Amino acid sequence: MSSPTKKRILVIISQSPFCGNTGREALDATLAAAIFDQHVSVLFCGNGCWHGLRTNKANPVTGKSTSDSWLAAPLYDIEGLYVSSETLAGKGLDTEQLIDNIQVIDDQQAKQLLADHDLIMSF
Amino acid sequence: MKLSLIILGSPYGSQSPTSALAFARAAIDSGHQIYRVFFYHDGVYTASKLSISPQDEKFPGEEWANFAQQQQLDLVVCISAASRRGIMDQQEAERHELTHASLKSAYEISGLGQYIDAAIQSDRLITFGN
Repeated sequence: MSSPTKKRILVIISQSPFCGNTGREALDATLAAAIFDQHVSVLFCGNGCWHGLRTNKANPVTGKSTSDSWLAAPLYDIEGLYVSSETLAGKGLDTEQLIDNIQVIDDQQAKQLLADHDLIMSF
Repeated sequence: MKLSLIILGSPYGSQSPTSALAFARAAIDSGHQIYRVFFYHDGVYTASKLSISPQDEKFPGEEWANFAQQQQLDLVVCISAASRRGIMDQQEAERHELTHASLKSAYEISGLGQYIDAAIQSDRLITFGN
């Protein structure tokens, strides 16, 4: 377990980027956690996997895309962006369609990711 | 155990603030401590002082305010989510040159840092809604 001032936080995003403004606000919370010098990783689940699409243009609500911001995640010391291969297969997506810094893992590794973190921020 | 609650769903479009309140009552009754309640996304509508509920219906915003005052809880509303949705304290309303403030007393406007601080300081972070 990490020290109380530096925790391992897993952000789970399961909402689609095309539905409301959740994507923007999940991104803001993720960046805030990273700025507060925590260990932060992100797991895109279910319809959340659409956030990783490299061809995403603007969100219908805000008129802005969050894909570029996710691409810049390493600059904020976000340790990893993950999606499971089972999730991708369920949506008919493959790795080539995702932004470069998303790692594809299997469901077992996703389970391990949950176990390896102190707490979860869920969107 | 030290707990923080994150409320993401709106008080009338979802069950999120109501479920969170039931959870908070049960947690305190069981001897746990609530470190902070953080309202984000549509959860910020819970903090509107311009919302009124009919007398024979539940009123999540008022119930949370009363409970927080009894228990001395910290009810924090995210400033960026709140500004987008028209929830402003007096200071924010003046800063944006708006004629009215809309934040209910018992709630406080602050930044996402309060969410992260809650995550760091609490043993568990429990999210209601998505």
